[in-house]
Amino acid sequence: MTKLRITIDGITAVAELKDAAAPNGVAAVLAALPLRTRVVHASRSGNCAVVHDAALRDETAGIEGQVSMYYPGMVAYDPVRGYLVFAYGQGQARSNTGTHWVTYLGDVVENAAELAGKLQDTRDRGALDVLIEQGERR
Amino acid sequence: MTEKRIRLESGGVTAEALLLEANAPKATAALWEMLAEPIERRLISAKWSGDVGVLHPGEGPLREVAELENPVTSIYPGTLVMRPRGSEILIGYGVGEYRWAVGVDYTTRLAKIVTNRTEFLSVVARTADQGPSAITVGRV
Repeated sequence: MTKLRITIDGITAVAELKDAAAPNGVAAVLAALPLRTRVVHASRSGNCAVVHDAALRDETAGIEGQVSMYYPGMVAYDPVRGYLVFAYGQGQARSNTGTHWVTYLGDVVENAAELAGKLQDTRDRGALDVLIEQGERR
Repeated sequence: MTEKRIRLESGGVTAEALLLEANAPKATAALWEMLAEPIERRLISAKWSGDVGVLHPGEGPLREVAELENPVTSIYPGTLVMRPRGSEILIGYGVGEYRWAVGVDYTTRLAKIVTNRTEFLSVVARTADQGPSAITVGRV
């Protein structure tokens, strides 16, 4: 199983990715790693923070494991926009035109509460630096 | 009738907004009453509604205005809108629509910025990336 290591402000969390349900999305995200960029709070999608980076764009990946709603600890991916979404509470994929679909890419399985605190901080403190790397495969 | 204006100050930038008294007579009257003394609050970025900044007025006359007046969902740049009972005032700086977790909701338009609009909306926009800033609202 593919894993991601997400480090924000000294906290590192691990997410397990859905290799079987979202193979194109997992491959597209792995191709962008390691990724040092910024994570900012969502402005339309509720309790989640978003990494948007050109390296994450892959218009050929398509939406897999199609979802719209976010749940705490969920990792979602929008290959067309190049968005990687980390939810810390209830949310929904929304743009200026309404709701839309994203790929259900994985779930945070280690340090979820600590990561959630940092994600929530992006609303109170503004954007934070984030490092996303591939973790050890299991 | 003399037009009433309010002054908004944040990040060292000041703008004036014209109260939309004809559209929202109760809400604008309550806001005017509330601003007998300027209020200072935190201006934060929306998390459901798009390109808008949000401030929470707190206790005061706006709490008594429960109904919507000429309700809108879209929040256009330079427009100030209010959730019923004044729990939130939102300032649009881009493409915004009033939304909650459960979907779209309605607001009352309170005012539109008529001076220093571009500079002030830049300050509001910065809350999305740089975090909250202080905002002072008072009568002109």
